[in-house]
Amino acid sequence: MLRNIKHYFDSIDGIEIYSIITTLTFIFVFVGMVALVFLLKRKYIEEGRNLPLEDDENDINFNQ
Amino acid sequence: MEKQQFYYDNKIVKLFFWATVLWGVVGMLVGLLVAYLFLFPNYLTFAGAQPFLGFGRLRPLHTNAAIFAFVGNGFFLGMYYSMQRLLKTRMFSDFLSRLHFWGWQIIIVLAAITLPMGLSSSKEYAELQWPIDILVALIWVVMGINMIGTLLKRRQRHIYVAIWFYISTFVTIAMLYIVNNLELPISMSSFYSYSVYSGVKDAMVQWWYGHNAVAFFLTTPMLGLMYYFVPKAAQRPVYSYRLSIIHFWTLIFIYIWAGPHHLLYSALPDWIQNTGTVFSIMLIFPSWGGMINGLLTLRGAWDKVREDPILKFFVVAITGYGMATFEGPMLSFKNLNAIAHFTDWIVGHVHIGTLAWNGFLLSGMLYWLAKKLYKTELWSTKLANVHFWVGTIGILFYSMPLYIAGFTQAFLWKQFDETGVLVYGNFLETVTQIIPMYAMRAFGGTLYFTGFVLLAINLLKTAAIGEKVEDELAEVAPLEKISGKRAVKEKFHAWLERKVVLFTVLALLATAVGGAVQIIPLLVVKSNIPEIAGVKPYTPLQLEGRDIYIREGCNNCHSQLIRPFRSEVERYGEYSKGGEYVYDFPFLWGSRRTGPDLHRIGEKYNDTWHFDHMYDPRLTSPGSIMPRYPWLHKNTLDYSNIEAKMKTLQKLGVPYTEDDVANATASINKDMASIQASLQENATESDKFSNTQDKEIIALIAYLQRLGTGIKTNQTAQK
Repeated sequence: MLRNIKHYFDSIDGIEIYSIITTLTFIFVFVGMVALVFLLKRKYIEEGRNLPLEDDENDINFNQ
Repeated sequence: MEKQQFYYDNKIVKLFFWATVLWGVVGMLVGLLVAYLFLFPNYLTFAGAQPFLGFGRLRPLHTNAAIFAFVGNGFFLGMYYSMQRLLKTRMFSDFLSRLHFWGWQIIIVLAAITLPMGLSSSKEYAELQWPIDILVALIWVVMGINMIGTLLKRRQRHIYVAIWFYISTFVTIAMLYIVNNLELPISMSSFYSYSVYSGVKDAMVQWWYGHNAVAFFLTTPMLGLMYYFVPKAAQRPVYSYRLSIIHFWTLIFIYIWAGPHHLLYSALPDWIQNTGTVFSIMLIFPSWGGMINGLLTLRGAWDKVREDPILKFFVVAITGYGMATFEGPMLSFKNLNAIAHFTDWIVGHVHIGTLAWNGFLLSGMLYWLAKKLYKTELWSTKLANVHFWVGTIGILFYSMPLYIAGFTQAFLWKQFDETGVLVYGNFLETVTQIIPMYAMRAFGGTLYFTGFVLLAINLLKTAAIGEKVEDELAEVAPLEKISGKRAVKEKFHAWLERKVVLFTVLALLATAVGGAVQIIPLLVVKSNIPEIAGVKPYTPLQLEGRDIYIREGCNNCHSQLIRPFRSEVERYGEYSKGGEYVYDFPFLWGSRRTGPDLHRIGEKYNDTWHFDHMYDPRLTSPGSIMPRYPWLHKNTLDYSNIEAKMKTLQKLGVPYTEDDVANATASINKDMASIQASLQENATESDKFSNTQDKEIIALIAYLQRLGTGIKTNQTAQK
């Protein structure tokens, strides 16, 4: 499948630069995000993910 | 710290709740009306319905109602419910909440009046005219102030991921809507305006908007709702909070670049097309990350899915999201796009997104909220299950025939015989072949609509047996004041989350960068769109005809873009060049070929053919499913605004001289007389064309006969 579309890209002057820039941007954003996220503390993550479930507890009517 | 008591505003939630149900029924009903027009082109032509219920006017009404009225109200509903609870506070301002609600409903009603009247800017999902656009922007900002205000007065330090998606929706839609709808009114007293961009530039801006309306109106708000309501309904936290953070930032960053995949093989510069393709393919990673996160939230709860219709709706919704976001990147490959673009495949693809992902997510949420708001069980869980099955079968009957229809069309359009001639040279043959698919699609739509009506009945009954909606009392300690600076050992993202305004600005930047890289060079670098000497501005009569073309929404079925394929050049003529569109304010490339492309229709048939064809397409093309436009032959052309229109276009850069403007009326009269003469010359019945000289049809003929002739008259310039 990739062979079929390759020639569309080949026919453009200076196409390499676009693929290099986009790939780098993509890697930078993705790897950056993954790194950022895995540096987060477990306590913070646990607190965050449980937020939707704890909100009813503050609701006096629901607890009656 | 002492706890503070406050009330959650449930009344605003209830208002949006019923608005979602009402507009869901209306939007889907209009969709059904449109679907049956493919089978019975004349059934909406009874007295009084004309010209308001023509396909070209109803289709924008359907898309706008489904997107902005149904999904829009559904998003606001979920947002007003979840934000208050996640942030442990009432909304910032009751007044702004109500202004937002009523303002939005007024916009919807105005759209429902003006679109059937033909007051359209022609740009897809942005058809509303300038006064309504301004109102939309104002009400959107009202919502944003209320949203940010609520964030600032919150009693919960940590801002949950759902709200990040809401913030991103607010800022990005504001940017997209304003940039795409920049238009110059022909006068302050007229509803009519011209897009400030023309041709290729307008196409780029429009599909940057159009694609991202799907991204930031139909996806990010729904993902926010998914991250809140799926854990609520399943009673377990989201599978991976880390994944949701990656999902959020990478999705909003990458999504915005993907717009040009709507314009592959068009006259758009290649470098923009290619960046669009590359980013579209990357988009599968964050999209599927989000889908997996949603589905895995249900791990260990699959036994509940068997029992609970709400979870069933969510499972199909998230699966639909996964299907649509797999298909999207695949359709962005140029070779697959060459097959799918302009066919019904795209319509099927879109409806997997809207019917399954949006419709079912909102249905599940509506059932869940009905129980909470009215403090009771559903009136009938069984009926909700029936809705689920009827709806699911409806989705399949809707989309599968359209996939088959799409492939069929593409192959019929491209098929040559051994002598090198198109097998289906008459476009109509490629339409009549797929009518059975349209019938199945209409059946699927009917099923889906029936399911939604069952939801409406169920919810009305649930509300009747439940408690009266009241604001709920809650009790939470206020937030301790801490420094805005990063605390020692505080991680960046944790700190960023407490800086609401900075977070919002970064979310906007993440989306703005993609648009800026693609659009700004196109607008400022002249060499991106080569000029063609033979292309001249429209004559006053052609301009009036073009405005009629826009009013009747012809672009909903006819493209004006011939792609550089042998099959298209053979069928339609020379492929379209960017320079041919420089005076097209707005561009009219279209996105779907229910009928043939019209870019080289000029001078292909004589005036009489067009005259007859518009009166009743079946006179010239037996079996055609095009609607009739008999009012064009009765209505006298109103060209009282022609000078204002030309002056507006002058300001936008069209080289009309002062003489051109001053002589506009005389020029119209002269051109009308000439077309009338040609009609009479070809007349077979002597009195058929009497008294038609000043009718709208004459202007439309003038426009159609001009289409694509710019390079025919100057063959050397195009080389």
